[in-house]
Amino acid sequence: MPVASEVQELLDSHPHLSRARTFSEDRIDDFTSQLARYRTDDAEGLDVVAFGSLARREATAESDFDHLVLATRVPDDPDVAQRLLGAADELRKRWAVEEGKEDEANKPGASGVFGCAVGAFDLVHQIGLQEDTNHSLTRRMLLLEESVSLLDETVHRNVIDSTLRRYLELDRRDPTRVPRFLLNDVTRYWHTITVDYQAKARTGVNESGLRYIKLLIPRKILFAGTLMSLMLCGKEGWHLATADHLREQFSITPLERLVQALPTVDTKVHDAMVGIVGIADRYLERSADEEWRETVKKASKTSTCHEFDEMREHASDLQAHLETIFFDWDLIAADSKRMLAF
Amino acid sequence: MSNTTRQLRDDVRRLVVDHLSSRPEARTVLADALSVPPSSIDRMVTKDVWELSFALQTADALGMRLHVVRD
Repeated sequence: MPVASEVQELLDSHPHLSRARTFSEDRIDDFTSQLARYRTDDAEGLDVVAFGSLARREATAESDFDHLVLATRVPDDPDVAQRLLGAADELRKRWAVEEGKEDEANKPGASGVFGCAVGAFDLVHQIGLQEDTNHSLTRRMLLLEESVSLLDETVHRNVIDSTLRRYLELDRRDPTRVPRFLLNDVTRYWHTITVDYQAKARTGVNESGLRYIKLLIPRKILFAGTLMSLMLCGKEGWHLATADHLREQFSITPLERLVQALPTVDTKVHDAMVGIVGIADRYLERSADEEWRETVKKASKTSTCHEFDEMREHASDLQAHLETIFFDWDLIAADSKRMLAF
Repeated sequence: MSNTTRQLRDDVRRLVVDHLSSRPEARTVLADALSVPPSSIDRMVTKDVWELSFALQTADALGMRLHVVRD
């Protein structure tokens, strides 16, 4: 789905966002072409899906390569999913070497969410039920919000489509209204990652200033970008809450979703949107610097660290801009107040 | 990262890149050692900054013997 030319120009005018997009697109093209030889009959119904900054087109040399094998059917050859995971791991190793890093770099996180094969059924049909674990919620949300196909785009598209239809069928709401069930699950995921951060910080596991900054800037932009897509449903001149329209929304990046209305908003909201793009650009600039990352990792809310404090100020500005957009912009303010608080 | 570490990192990288450019066969040797295709070595040398541990790993894989002398 193309974004408005004014939005594209704004994003292109920010050098770090622009560079990261080129870097990400090159990497996605390279990975897709490397995996093409695995597109055999055996692999029918399977896709290799990448998540995170690569999918957001915000990858840098410091990014992780988080991936899954997504299956819509049980393959005839039980080893095929393992072969795909092995191939994806080879790509991760290559990425590390090409960026001048040791093999251990960019490994999927130790959370167990990535680096494995998952069935689409478990993502789509357990929504909100007992078996809908933090892992399945995380995978489903990231599949919708920030994922890119590297092997079979049809599989990826079908699973996103099925997921959206599941939310909308269970909701049974007028497509001119905000899809409340999906909104609630998106909000649940945001609350889950904020609680997860605090729980790990409390126990000292993975305590990291960098995790805190990631939560306050890119993760919050991800959440807000999706909120924007949902809040705009049914508004005059905007998309409907249908699977086709929402799939189009999720085909653009979270930042694009968040500022997509730029040409139509008043000066105050316009300035807030421009401000957010500037903050995203600054975060990308700093987080692409290995030394900055090492410094910020050691920082905390109670320590003194110029690099950390600077980014916290940007996070505070981001919060103010989001409040302007969601609560002062007449088009969505009423729904935001009604649906995001109670 | 201290200036000394940064200088060591950059100097080891430069030595490896010089080694690769003066010995064409070293490209394949390093690709095999790192289990990547030779094209990855071509991309790797275009990166201006490597991690120190990676620079040392590549030097070791190429059989380079490094003597660090401090002024």
